[in-house]
Amino acid sequence: MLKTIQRQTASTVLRPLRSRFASPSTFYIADRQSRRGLASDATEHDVVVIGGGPGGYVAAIKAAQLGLKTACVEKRGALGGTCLNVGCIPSKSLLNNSHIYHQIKHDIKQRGIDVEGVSLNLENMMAAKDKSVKGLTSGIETLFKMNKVDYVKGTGSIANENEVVVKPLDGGADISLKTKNIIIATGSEATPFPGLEVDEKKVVTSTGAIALTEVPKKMVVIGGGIIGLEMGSVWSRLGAEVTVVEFLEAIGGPGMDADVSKTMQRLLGRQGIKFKLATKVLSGDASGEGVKLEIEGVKNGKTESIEADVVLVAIGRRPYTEGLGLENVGIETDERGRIIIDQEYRTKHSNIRVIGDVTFGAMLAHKAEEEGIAAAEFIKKGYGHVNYGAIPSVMYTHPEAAWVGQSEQDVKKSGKEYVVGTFPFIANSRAKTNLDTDGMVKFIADKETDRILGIHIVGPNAGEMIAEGVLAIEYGASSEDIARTSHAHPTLSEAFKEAAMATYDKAIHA
Amino acid sequence: MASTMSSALRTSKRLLHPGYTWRAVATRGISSTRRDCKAHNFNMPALSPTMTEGTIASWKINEGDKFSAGDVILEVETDKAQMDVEAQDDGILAKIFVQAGKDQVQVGTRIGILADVDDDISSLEIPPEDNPVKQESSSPEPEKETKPAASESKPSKPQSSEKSDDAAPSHGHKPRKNPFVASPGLTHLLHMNGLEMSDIQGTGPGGRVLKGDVLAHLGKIDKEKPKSIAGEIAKLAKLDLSNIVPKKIEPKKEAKQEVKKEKKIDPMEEVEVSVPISLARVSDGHRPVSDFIARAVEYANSGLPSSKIPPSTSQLFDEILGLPSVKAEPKYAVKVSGYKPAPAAPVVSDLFDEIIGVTKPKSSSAVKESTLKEFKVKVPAVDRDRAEFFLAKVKFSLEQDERADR
Repeated sequence: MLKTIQRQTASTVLRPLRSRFASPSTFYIADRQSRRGLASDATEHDVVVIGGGPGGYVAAIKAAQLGLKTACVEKRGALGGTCLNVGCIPSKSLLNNSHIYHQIKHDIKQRGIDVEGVSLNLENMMAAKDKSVKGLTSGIETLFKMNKVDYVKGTGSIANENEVVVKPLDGGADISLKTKNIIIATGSEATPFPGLEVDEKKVVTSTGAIALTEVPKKMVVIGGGIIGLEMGSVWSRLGAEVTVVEFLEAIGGPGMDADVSKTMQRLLGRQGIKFKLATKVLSGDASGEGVKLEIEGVKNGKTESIEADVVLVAIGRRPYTEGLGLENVGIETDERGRIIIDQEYRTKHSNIRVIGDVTFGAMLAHKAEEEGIAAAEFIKKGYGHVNYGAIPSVMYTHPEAAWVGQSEQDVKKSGKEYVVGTFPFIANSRAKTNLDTDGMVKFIADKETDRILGIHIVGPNAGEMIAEGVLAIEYGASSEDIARTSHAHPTLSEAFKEAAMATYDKAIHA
Repeated sequence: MASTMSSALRTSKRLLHPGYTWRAVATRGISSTRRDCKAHNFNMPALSPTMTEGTIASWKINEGDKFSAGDVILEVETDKAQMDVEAQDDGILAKIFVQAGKDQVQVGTRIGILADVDDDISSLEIPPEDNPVKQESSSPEPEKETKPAASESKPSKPQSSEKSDDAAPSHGHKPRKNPFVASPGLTHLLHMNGLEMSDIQGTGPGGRVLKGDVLAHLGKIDKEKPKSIAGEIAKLAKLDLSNIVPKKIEPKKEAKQEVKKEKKIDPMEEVEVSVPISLARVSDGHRPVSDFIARAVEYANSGLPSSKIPPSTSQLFDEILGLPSVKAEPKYAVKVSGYKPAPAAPVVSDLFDEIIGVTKPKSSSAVKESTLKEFKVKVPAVDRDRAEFFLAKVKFSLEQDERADR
């Protein structure tokens, strides 16, 4: 079909023409006058999406593509939500670039490349991150225009089942959006640590951790989950002395396979990150120059105090519903603040649906995206589908960790008989030539039927490799199905195939 | 043969005003498109993010002409700029729908048909229009756009999902004769056992035959095994909405005032809650009274509202991590002593009766003094309500509940 052009420069030249070109559904780019004019208009939307994160903007675009008149309300001033603005995307920029820096400093010599005078320019590294973010958020705005989604900048609040009132960011009069359906996609926020006030300078959440202005000498990460380990990695690579304090006895959080967790702890430990597992933080004091934490061993009760220049609070995220007006329509949340829904994402009002972090399920951007599409399809077609058993998780450390399906602990607990097959990257030709051989692929399959129950990878680019595993689980594949599928040589993906072979039979190269 | 079929076009831009210094280099669009091996509609391209309509200045090739990648197909004019639309791949311009010079063609309107180089355009099947837009619509009608949505935006029937649950626990689909191609792992197995795909019933997604189904068919594993695995996996495929505990609704005004009054008290400070309970009904000599009390306490401890004692840091951690909460609801033990009437007692007892739904409170004076005992519980101040409720249940159990006799 057609490749249409989206050249940024075009808009600057065409700006004087906007008002002429703007169709009614593009009032968002026009001046405020025309938006007001429309707001008082009685045009009813089919769908108003509250929240422009990965769940909300995808839902809005999908709904528009399905022919529904759609508006998306976002108060950040930029689309993409936490993920794009202060989450997945900026952290991946820092992870990638800090990895390159680290590699040049510590790894490149063995590859026959001698470099001198390597130094970190943190300001530019942050600028590179901001550039990626900027490009992507404005990209979504373009997508909204292309799909004729009305983008309303402001704080949306549900007035009643068929009306969303928006307080505009620029301080104008409230805009009332009449609508047949509402999709709530307001996401989540970092859970604060009781007794430690977040200032995003010394005591930071992930938001502050991607925007530090200098590399801290000492950093303590409270919470050894994915966010904590990723951000800990970044600053450790850039020179900080990082200590991760985790309440549980394993890193990675619930859902991570124990083998993956142990392997990752070993590998990250080798990179210089210190771990204090089964340790809880009793209290913190940020009144001095740095931050002082009192910690206590869960098992032995031994207390200790540690100091840091920066403390990252990464103990989880909680649903964000502030100012949403749930009380106006009597929508309930559960004890943890998650909005209560049914299997079709409906609240007690069947025209108000909820997707993403603000409701149940894993807090993952791609899970929210799937739900966004399904919610739009439920509205238009009465049927949507998300397979929650085949949603991958990825940790973007180096090496990466990625998995889909059940962990070995899960399977063991269910009482099923199962087989495990693993293959280490050290035995993979491509990993060897890349001098990047840490990690392994692990399959868990039902013992009798060979149906794959879970796939767990630690290794370079595991996050990309897991896609094959997701597809396999989605199709109900057996490990033999994968083992008998050709994988290119020499690639890392051969390790995937060999692990499958090891599961139903025997690997060739190990 | 027609696999290279692609009619993707690339656009380049040329300004009418020479004053601008634009690179006339074509930038590839970011949009992804679906390809198949048929003739394609060639729609009016959007040459900038804001462009909604334009004029075809001229077609650079004629209907039926072949073109190769990089050829300029047509020139599109907007107010400010005139742009060449270049072909990105080889093809044939099979048909032109909108001739040059026609004013204001909406973006997305079909202007022509593109075919693969190898296609015979005389026998070409003309695809239907992608976006039937009113050609001369310089004034779009928003009403029309919303119409189809209105009729179809009704919420679906809630039954649909539950229905499929009951029908087939395996995967929402009945096992059926398999219409699929054998997966890589099956080919071998089928061949070695002289089986055909159609011999086997599938339990996989959408009724797909899986390796386990073949093994079960062959009797190598338990026949029910694939079905049970499929059932378990189907369960995991759903969002787990079991065990939702709704957040408690804020206490009513009355309770709020009470809280305000008690504000000075440290919420964790121990307070004593007591209530007089008559043991007349249970002290009939058949069984020791202590038995009845123990049973009443056990009964009263079950199903109490959750304690308001704030969770400890470690409990918070568990909750954040989604671990099963280790927060054990405190259970109460009672202290029984002789009853000394206090002025507040009757009022309290009324309140309890109200809670447990007894219309007429039994006058305590009607009960023999000796059987009236005072039941006491010590709790942190925040849990006063809970303790009172507990005692009300004990009272109910001992004084009225017939079940307690058995």
